[in-house]
Amino acid sequence: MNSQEVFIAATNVISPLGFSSSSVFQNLLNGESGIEPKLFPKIREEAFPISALSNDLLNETFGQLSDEKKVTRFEKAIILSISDALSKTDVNASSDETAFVFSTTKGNIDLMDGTDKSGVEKSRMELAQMAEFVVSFFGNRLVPVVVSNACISGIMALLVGKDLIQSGRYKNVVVAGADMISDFVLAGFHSFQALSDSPCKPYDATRNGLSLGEGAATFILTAEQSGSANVKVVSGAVSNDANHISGPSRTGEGLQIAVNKTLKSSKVDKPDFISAHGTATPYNDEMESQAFDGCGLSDVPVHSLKGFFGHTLGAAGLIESAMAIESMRSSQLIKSLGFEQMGVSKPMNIIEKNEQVELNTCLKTASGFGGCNAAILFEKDG
Amino acid sequence: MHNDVVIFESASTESSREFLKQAYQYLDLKYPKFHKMDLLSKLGIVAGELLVGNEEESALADLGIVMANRSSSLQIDEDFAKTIRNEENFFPSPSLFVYTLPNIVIGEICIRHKIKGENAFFILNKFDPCFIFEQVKWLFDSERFQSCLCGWVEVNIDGIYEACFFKIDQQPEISELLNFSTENLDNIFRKWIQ
Repeated sequence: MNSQEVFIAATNVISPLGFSSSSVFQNLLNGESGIEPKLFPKIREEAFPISALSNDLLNETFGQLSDEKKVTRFEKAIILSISDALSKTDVNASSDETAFVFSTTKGNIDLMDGTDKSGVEKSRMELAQMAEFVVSFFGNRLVPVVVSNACISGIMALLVGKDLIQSGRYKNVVVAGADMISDFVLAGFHSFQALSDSPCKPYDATRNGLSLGEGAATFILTAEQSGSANVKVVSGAVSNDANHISGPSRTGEGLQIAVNKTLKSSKVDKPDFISAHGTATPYNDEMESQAFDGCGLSDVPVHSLKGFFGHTLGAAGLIESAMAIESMRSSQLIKSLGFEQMGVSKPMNIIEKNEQVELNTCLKTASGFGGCNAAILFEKDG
Repeated sequence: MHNDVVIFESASTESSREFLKQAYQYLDLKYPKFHKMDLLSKLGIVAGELLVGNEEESALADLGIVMANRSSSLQIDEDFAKTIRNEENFFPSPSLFVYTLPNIVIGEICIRHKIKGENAFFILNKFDPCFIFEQVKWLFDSERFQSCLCGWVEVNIDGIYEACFFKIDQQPEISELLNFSTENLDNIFRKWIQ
C-alpha cells in the first residue's frame, strides 16, 4: 500500500535526567542513571531504588509555564513534555488538523486515595477526563484518544498516531505519555516480587528484577517533511502471546510475530540497532533473547535503557523511542547500563560501550502484562 | 443478546457478578479460570464467547481485537487500593494487582481462544462509533488483520457494567450480514446499551 509518510517533527522527555530530549540524551552519553534509593515506609523499611522526578523542579518549571493551580503531578509532567516538544515545531496544537493521543497505565491514580494534594477533582482519575483537561490546556477542541495497554502503551500510541496520519484523518498528531510512581504501583510490583533490590541490570547474569521509574515523553508526528523532521515512523505491529496474563511466553513467539510483521511491511531486513524492552526480570529478558534469535536478529546491537530510566510503564515506549531518535540523529549507540555478564540463553549483541556509528534504522520493542507485544521501526529519511 | 436474539436473561434482582456467573453456567464454558477473573475480564469472556466461541481455533489465530471503555480498570483498582489503604492492614494482593490494567480483558480473551493477532485497548469518554470504525477500517486497509472483534467493554467504579461486541469479517460467509459502518455500529449500540 502506497500511503502517506509519517515524520517525527520533535520529541521531548521529562525525566530525572533532564527536561528535554537533548539534555537527557547527554546524560545517557555520560553514563548517568536516574535511579536512586528512595524510602516508602508504608511499604517496607528498606529503600527502593527508583528513578523519581523531583517535586520541586517539576513545580518550579510548571510555574514558569502556567499559573494554573489545580494540576496533578502527572498532568504537570505531561503538559511540560508536550509544551517543550511543540515549541520545537511549527505545529499548531489548537488546530482541528492536530489530534492528541495519550499513553498511560495509571494516569492520576493518586486521586483515588486523596494522596494527591493538588485539589483536583477526583473525576480526573478517569483517563479520558485527564486527557480532555490536557488538550484543553493547549486549546485543542478534538476528542482525545487514550491508549492504555500495559507496558506497550507508548509504542502502541505511536502506532495509532501513525495510523491517524497515514489514513488521512489528521495532518499532525501529538503523542504524549506519562506514568508516575505511586504507592499503588510500587506496592503492586512489590507484591509481585518483581522489584530488584539494586538498580536493575537488564540481560545481566545477576539481574533479579526491575526498577520502577517515572517520566513523561512526547512525539510530534506530522505528514509534512520539514528541516528537522528527518526520521520517519515506517511500520509497526502488535501481537498477543495468548499464554499467560502476567508472565511472558517462554519461547518469545508473540514478540517474534510483532517483530517479523514490522520488518516484513518495511524494506528493512535487519535494523542497525534494537532498543529492546529489557525490564531485567529473569523471564522477560530471557524471552527477548529467544525472540530476537528466532527472528535472526541476535547479531544486531541491542540495548535496554531501563538501567538509566527504570521501567516507566506507559511512558517507557515513548521515552526510549525518543532516545533512539537522538541516537540516530547523532550517530551514537548508547551502552546498555547495568549489563556486565551475559545472563540469557540465546546470543545477543548487547551494546557494552557507547560508540560513534552511522545509524539509519532502529527497531523498538516492548512486551507487557496481558501477553501483549509491540514493535515499531524508525528510519532516517535520505 | 446475540444478533438481536436474547440468549440469556436473569431476574433483575441478581447482582452483576451473579449474572455473569449464571451466564457462564448457561453457556457451559467449562473454564475454571473464569472464577478467578475480575469483573471486566468475566464480562469480556462472556461477550467474546457469544461471537467467536463456535469458531475453530485455527481461524482465530490472526483475529484482531480492538476494545474501548470509559472507566479503564477503576473498579478493580479500587479493590486493590483497599488492600494498601491502612498501614496496619497492608496486604497488597498480586492476584488483584494483575487485573489493574484494562487490556488484561483482551489478554484473557486471547488465552481462551488462542488469538495472537493485533490488539489495542482505548479509553474514551463514551462509545465513539466513528473512531472505532475508522481505526478498525484502517487496520483492515493496511492489512494488519483480516477479521476483528471490536467494541465496548465497560465496568464502572461501582461495578455497573455493559458490553457491546462486534465481529467484523472482510469476506463474510453469510451474505445478509450488516455492512461495517459508523452508522451500523452506532445504531446497534444505541438500540441495546443506551
